[in-house]
Amino acid sequence: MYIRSRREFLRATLQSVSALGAMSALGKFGEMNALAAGGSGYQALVCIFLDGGNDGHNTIIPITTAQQNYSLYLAGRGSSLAIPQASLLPINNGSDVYGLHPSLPELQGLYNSGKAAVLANVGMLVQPLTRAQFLSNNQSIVPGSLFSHSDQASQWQSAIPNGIASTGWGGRMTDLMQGQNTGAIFPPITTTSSCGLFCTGQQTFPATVPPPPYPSYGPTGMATLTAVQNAPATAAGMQQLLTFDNGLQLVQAGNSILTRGNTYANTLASLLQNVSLKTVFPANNPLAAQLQTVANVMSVRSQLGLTRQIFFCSLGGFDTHGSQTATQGPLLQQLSQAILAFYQATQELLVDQSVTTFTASEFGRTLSPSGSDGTDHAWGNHHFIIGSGVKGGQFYGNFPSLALGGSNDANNRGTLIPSTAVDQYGATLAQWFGVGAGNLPTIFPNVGNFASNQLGFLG
Amino acid sequence: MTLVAPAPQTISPTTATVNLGATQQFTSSGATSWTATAGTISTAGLYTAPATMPASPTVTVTATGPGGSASATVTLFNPTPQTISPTSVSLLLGATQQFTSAGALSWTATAGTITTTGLYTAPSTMPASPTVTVTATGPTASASATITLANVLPVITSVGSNGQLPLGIFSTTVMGTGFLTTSVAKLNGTALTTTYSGGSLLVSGFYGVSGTANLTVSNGSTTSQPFSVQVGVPNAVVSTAAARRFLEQAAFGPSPTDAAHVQSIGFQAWIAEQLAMAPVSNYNTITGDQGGMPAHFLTNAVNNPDQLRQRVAFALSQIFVTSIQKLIWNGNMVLYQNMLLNEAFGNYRQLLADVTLSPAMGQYLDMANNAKGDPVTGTLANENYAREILQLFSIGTNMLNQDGTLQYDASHLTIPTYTQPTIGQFAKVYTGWTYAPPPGQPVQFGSYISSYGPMAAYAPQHDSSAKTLLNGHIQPAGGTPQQDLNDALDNIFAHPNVAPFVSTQLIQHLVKSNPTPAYVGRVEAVFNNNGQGVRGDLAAVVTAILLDPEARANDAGGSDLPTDGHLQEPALFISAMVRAFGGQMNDQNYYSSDMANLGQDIFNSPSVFNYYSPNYLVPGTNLMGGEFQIHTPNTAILRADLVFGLFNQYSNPVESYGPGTVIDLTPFLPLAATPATLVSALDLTLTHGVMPSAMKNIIVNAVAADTLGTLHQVQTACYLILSSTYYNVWH
Repeated sequence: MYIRSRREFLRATLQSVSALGAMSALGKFGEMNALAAGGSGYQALVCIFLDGGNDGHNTIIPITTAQQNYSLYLAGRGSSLAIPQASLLPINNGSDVYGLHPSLPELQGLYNSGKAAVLANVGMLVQPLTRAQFLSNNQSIVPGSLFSHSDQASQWQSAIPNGIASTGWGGRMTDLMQGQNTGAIFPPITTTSSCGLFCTGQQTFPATVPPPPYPSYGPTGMATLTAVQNAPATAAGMQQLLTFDNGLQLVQAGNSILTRGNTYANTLASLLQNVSLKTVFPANNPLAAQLQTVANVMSVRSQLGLTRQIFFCSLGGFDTHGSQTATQGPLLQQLSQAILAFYQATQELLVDQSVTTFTASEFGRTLSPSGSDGTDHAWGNHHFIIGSGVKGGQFYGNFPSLALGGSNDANNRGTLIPSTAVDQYGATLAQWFGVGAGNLPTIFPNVGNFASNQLGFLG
Repeated sequence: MTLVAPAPQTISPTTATVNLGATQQFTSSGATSWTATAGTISTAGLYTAPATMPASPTVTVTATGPGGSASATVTLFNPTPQTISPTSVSLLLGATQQFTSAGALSWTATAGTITTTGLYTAPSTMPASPTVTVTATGPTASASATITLANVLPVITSVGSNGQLPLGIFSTTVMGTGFLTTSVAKLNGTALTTTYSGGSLLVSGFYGVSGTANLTVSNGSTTSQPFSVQVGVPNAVVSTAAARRFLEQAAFGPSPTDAAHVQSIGFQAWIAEQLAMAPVSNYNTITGDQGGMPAHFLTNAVNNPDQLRQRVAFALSQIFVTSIQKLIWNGNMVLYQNMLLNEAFGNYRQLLADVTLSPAMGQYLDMANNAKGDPVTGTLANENYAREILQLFSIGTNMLNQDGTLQYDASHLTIPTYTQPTIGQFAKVYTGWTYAPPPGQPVQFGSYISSYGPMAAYAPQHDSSAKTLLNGHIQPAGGTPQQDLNDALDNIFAHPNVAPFVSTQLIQHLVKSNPTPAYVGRVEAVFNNNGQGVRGDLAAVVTAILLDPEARANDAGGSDLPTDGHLQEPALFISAMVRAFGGQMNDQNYYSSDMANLGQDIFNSPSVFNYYSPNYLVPGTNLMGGEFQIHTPNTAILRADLVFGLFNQYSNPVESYGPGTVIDLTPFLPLAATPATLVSALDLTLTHGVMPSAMKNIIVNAVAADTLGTLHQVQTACYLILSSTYYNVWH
């Protein structure tokens, strides 16, 4: 089983809070009761992580808004990298007109049909932060190692702005929601790529399900131990070796990984062989392949005994220090086409109300370009939330001023200081997923530092 | 007339003992006839014993008269027994022995031949029973002697080459005399596979303890004098286990040959030899524009003698990362990897400069064609290289103590090594460089990547303003691109983080994922001063890493710390597996795609953050273990299945995974009959001979239960060890 010591965890939790009495200890898992009472069915979150730091400035551009116009964007971005106004795909937020990158027509359609929303200028924060506070160099109110890929990716995924985290908010959410998955024979988190901290909890370890194209070893990409099938004597020896403990923690960790891999594959591989969704996913699109795999796994959720699932996909290549125009466009096209196909697949599976897809990325990029037609690492960024449960067709958060050196700029390059925290973004998703407000600080330790834990983009 | 019944017939005496040929008078009243079962008896009852002993020494004498019959029992006695000499003798096959037996009339033997004069000739081959009975029969009796037949006495005159046997599985020739087709050679009492061939013996087997041992040849009943042989390296400086474990850190795993060499000269001499060895490995044979480098990486790793150089260069390639993902073409990756191989034992400061100006890095992190800021268009210097050279190649993001641990401020927050403005300043340093032009041509800013050597300066695009670098260092205005670069790299090199930052990563790549601070501190001290006042001497640093007490602490096995070890990354796993068996690799090997499937597409890292982060926390532990980042539940299965493909399906013990890989299991086949010996041999081959007995037992049982034949038994044992986490986590 993937939950290695749930009983121990429960026991430890009960003991640690024994002073509060057994009833309140069980309240720690109150989610199971609240949601069971609500009779809720299936709910799933799908995280699409844009590796490298997507340039949000060229993803969502103000055209004519109460706050600012295209000309301010053009001034900051410079003519070599700015997207011509005429090619932008317009979307409205109330009376404000914004433009999406020309490679995002599918997202434009979803937005305009109310199935997608924009969350503006979200990023990692310790607490609400002004430009003056940031420039005061008070390290305690600013996330550590800003602008570093690895650190910011870890922080986005862990919601821990300083120090070393060992779990992520996806994993902590499913830890807390175990009561919804009591009959599960498969982990509540599935990743189709290399997942960092996001997918790991105290009790949750993700399953890795590779996307097509599959190597030669199997029709589903889930490798199983061939020895176990083909050589009984060998298999028996292997089973014993998997529990052989020579006292080294890394050996035990490796045994655990191999054991889980075998369990997951045995559970899933045969189920997936019988799945054939009608939705056509775009070819030569690595993200679409991952989302197709997500849809396939969703389609066997009942057999897996899961009513709460989290998925993690990623698309790389967004670290566009140079030649950004030629790089970002095709990537955003892949993103847009993959998201639409996946949304249609959730409709085919009749779970479009139950599946919320959201984008993330370690940071945004500078508005001022570099001398090699690219942009450098920055901070706050715009993201999309997609699904039939989303109150779409509008923006959430506060769209920032694009004035260089302005109130939202951490320096003079259009390095956005986030106006909405990752904690708030995640807390809104978590509450829709079924986490009670009282348990949010378990998942997002700093959420209480912010005015609201409910951004309202989900019903 | 009254009829009176006659009295019953009687005889006297009823028993008698009579010498052969002697007489005895019997009486029986009114007897009318006498009979005897042997000898003769007269009508008067005078019995005469026979001259020679009949089949039975007991004779019945019967008298018949009016009262019926009466019998007496005579026991015959031979007063002068036959003798034979000698009565017991041991004889070599084919030998003769004269027997004497006074008065003997005939001779017989149960095996061999014997003349009428008692001359015995032993048979030339051993009969069913080695015990032969010789019987001499005289006039009155026979006598027997026992011969114990014995084989010829074997004598060993030489074993192999100067009595030298390799450690582990060996095959050699024993020369001598008196060898038979049935001779069996033994090493310290353990029987070896022995084949008689033209008077000498071909012997093979496994012996896992280096040192002297006694070889004997037994012909069954006779055994040669012991012949002293040297197993393994004579006068070994380090143990078999230690040498093998050392090569897991200093090479791409132990090969039998390299392990023997380390044993014979010791760690320090081996390192010195490696440091002095000119580069053997390179990528010059890669002529295609794309593909081929990963396969050649393995060919170099498995076959080439410059093991330490390659291992260090591989570690450096995972610190100073460039990737085909962005370079696309092999050309500059070949030059870049050649450079890392050439400079693996050089100075870190020089390496930093050469990496910085390499076309590969110039393209990968955008230093090439990095224009100075333009106030008119609003562009600024590209920050990519400025950031990553600090974050990943030199000092990291947080201030370190000299033992590699994090520094904290008063409020227990980590202390950043630099802030964003510093990156902006360094970005200006790296402006004004482009790819080198063809010889004789002028430098053209904005040119396409070339392979004409290090990048060339182009002053008009260099920002020569004054810059504030690390630790408040002011780089004065007016410098040339090269002057400013030298000054900036000196500034970085002088930062106290460099030694612990680089030392820790090299330790993690070579020895263990979680070194103690004390270990890092000792290596850091050598990084800062190689003993001759030189900083950044990578040869000294690597030597210190490998000879450190913490690296060598567990050489004999069994004394691991719970935090010890590091997972073999895919490239190491594959090359070490082939090397362990003394196997061979060439560029046609099939492993490139396997490495990619396992998460390590060699030289095609997904980003400058390498295939994995050295600081990755292993789920379920508080330990770092970068290699685990690409060891997912799925890739862990794929790795086991890769081994299964190699060690299951082949019916030929010379296993070839495609045309590029050969692993010969033939030497192990004779050991399969004794699973414990087989597992011991593989223990030495793969786990330096220190495999815990509980694990051995599991594998022995699986081998014993394997009914698919000798080869499959060997394959099963190989598979179970190679797929075990115990093996995969080198420790």
